Amino acid sequence: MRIARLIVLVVWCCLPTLAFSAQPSRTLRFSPLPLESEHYVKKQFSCFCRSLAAMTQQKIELVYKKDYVDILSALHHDEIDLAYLGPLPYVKVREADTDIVPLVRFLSRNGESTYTCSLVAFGHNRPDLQETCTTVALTQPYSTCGYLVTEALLSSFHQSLQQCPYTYAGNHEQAALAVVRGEAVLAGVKTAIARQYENLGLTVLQESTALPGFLLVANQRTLGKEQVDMLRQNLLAREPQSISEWGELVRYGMIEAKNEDYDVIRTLLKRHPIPDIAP
Amino acid sequence: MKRYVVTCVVFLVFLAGSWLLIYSRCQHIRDDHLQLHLTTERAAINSSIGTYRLLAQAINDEVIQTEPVLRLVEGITRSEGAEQNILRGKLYRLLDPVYQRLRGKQVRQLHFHFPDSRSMLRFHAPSRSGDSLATVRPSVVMANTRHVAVHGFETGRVFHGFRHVFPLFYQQQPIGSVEISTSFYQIREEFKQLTETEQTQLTFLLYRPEMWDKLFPDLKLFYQPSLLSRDYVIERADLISSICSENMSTSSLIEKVQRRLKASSEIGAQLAAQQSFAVATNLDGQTYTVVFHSIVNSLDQHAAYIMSVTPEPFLASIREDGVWMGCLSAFLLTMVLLYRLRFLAADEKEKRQSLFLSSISDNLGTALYTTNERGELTFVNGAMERLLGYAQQEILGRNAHELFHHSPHQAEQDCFCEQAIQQNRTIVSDDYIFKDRMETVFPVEIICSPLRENRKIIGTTTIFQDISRRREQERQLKETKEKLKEANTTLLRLATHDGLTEVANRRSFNQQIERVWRAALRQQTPLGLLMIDIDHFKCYNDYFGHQQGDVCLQAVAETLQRACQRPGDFVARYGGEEFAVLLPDTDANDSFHVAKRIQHQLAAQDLQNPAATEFVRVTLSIGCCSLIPAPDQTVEDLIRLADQSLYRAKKEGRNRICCCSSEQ
Repeated sequence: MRIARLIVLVVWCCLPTLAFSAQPSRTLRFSPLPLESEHYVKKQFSCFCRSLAAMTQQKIELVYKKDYVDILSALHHDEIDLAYLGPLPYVKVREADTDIVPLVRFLSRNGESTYTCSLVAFGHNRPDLQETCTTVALTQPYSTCGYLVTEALLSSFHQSLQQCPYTYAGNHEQAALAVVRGEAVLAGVKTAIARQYENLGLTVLQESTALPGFLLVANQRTLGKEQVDMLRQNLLAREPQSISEWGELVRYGMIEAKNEDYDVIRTLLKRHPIPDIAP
Repeated sequence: MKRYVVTCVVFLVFLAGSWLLIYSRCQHIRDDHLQLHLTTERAAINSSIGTYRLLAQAINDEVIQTEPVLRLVEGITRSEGAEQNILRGKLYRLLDPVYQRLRGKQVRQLHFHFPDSRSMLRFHAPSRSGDSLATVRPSVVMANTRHVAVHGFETGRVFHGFRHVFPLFYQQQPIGSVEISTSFYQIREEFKQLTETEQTQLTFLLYRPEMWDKLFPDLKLFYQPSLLSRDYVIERADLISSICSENMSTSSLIEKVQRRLKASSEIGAQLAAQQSFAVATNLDGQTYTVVFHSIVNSLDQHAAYIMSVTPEPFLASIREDGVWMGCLSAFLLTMVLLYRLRFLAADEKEKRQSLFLSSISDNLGTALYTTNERGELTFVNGAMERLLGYAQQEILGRNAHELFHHSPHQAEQDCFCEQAIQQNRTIVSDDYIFKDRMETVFPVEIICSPLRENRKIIGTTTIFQDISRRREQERQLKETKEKLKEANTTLLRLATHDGLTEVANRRSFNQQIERVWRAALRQQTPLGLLMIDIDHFKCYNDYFGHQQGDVCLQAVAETLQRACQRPGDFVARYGGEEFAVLLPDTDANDSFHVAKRIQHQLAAQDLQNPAATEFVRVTLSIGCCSLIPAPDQTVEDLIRLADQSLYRAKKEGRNRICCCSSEQ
């Protein structure tokens, strides 16, 4: 009888602790791809983070990482819970870790769930790619528009990055501006970004086929399947006007992201393996 | 009780006054310090802005005003479409290395404009161009229309900062303008270097009505209202941290201070006034100086505040000093209050005692007054008021000697108060005369003593009383005494002297003869006795009448007295016309000579007695006897012997002297 009382007492004392631990009080760590400068990226995602915080009743920590590899590594090592990724980084991280699951794909300004990459040059005078190989500015090795799609686009000119000298500028903006500055003759960037720099004489030489859009992925190990599903449902249920304040990259709507949507990337990857990333 | 209440009220008033004084003094020092702080910071900010203005001028002169740049700008101005884009790209390509270096020099913005004030090329946002700045950038419009350099703060579509806009000319033709700007953040860094302090934190509050409508819509997201006032916004880039929560809260000092000042109506009013100001505030136990520097745009309109927050131990020390001074003043005033209360208690006690003494002195009936060392009255009692007819309040402070001490020889007479002080003794006298209010003088008896305080003479205390009645009584008594004495003398004379002849009477003779007999007996000296009878006096009376008879008796008595000149000789009327003369220390022979002298002197007078049969003049029969008394003899023996001798003289024919021998 006394033991039973003791157990009741212990359980009664532990109840508040248990209840407290049940609260979703942990900070969720979110990291977007460093498509542009840190300042601009943080501006882009600050409102998105606030919405996520309201949705989950948890604080959101915006983790900025300069390198795509660092984001993928952090996901794999459970250092971040959510990430805004391009198709290639998703495919690469999914290859290594099946607990990284897609949540939603973001639509472009015109409502499309796909995007294209472009090979760009400066001015009217297109370089004679058939004759000579020129310097190419790329974003990052893990960028879809980087080595992977640029190599595919160059192949239509019978050129390859294996022969052309190329550099990684860090992001699409810098890659585009590298061409304007004359540091490179060509660059592989998102078409949308290339269009923004047309006012500086940037010209699209070749545009890729449609690629599945950028997506939000979740680490199912750290969040749990229930919270992942909850997040997906909540995001998909958002009304367009409720996300109008979000950044340019994410404000035009979402659709559900599926792993098989990115098979096209996997095919490209098989065709054009990227030498600068781990297999 | 009233005085206690007044004392407490005065104490509270003084306490409040001293606290108010200390508070206002501290406020004054604080305000001065804040003003100095504001001025110093303002100078540092102006210096920072001036530094970048010089840098902008140098960049314009050395980099922009060059042939390749101006030619490209001119080309962009002239061209359109793709060609213009390419030239813009070339301009970017040409100046981007310079811009990157300028970024290292904290120059934030390099921006070319078309002559119509459209954006030509933003190096900080190269993808954005072609938008009109005419409505949002007056400095650009001014530079393009007036062709003068314009300097000042200005908000914009993307960027807000301190602008330096220079007009561009190519071959003397205006081709637009270029702007070299620094943001608040660069000014902040320069400010820190100038003030050499890392403790000061700055933030930039943009005046919302001035800048909000200029912003690109998609950039409005990156501003949030200031905690101080909804009229001001802060660029969220300044606030974004790696933590994104619902309220985007940060724990920066600036934000804490803003939260602290949010409720202050004074801050709201100052912000609304759009002037520079400084305040002090306390946060987490530390005092901070918060300075708001008003920034005006190129149109001289308020556009923003630079808000600085600096830890200020000096202000904390002022406050601490103020608290200490307040405590000290409270302590001192409390001491004064306690002293005052003690004084009041003592004063009350003294008053009660004074009243008690005054009551006693007033009822004493004796006048009393005190003077200081100069003789001025310091206290008078009721009796004195009544006596002199002065009210206390009208004579206090006046000189007593001049006022009521009176003397017929006042000039010579020193004031007894002065004497008492000078001689340091009590003066007791009834020789003084005072005069009252009506100039009536009266004698007084005074007792004047020096009045001492701590062994030092500080004046005198005098009690006096009117002795007019006593003097009158004394005078009357003296007169009575004199009359009595005179009466006694008369009575004595009447008792011992004969009323007619003025010589001793029989009673007196009896007493005298007893005395001289005892003396002669004691000394064994001879005692002579003459028994004298006027011859035929009855006839004389019958002849001349009794009145003449009396004259005769007087003449005989006078003759006897004249004849008996020695001090011990004693003449008495023994009865009728009979006289006796006592002659102490006189033997029979000398007694006979005295008797003879008496007869001769009477004879010399030649008193006529026609009635006498033998003689025609008045004569005397004298019985003379002298003996040395023996213890077994008496006075009666001497008288008897002298009487027998007289009888014998009568018998033998009168007008003769018969002596008796000692053997008889």
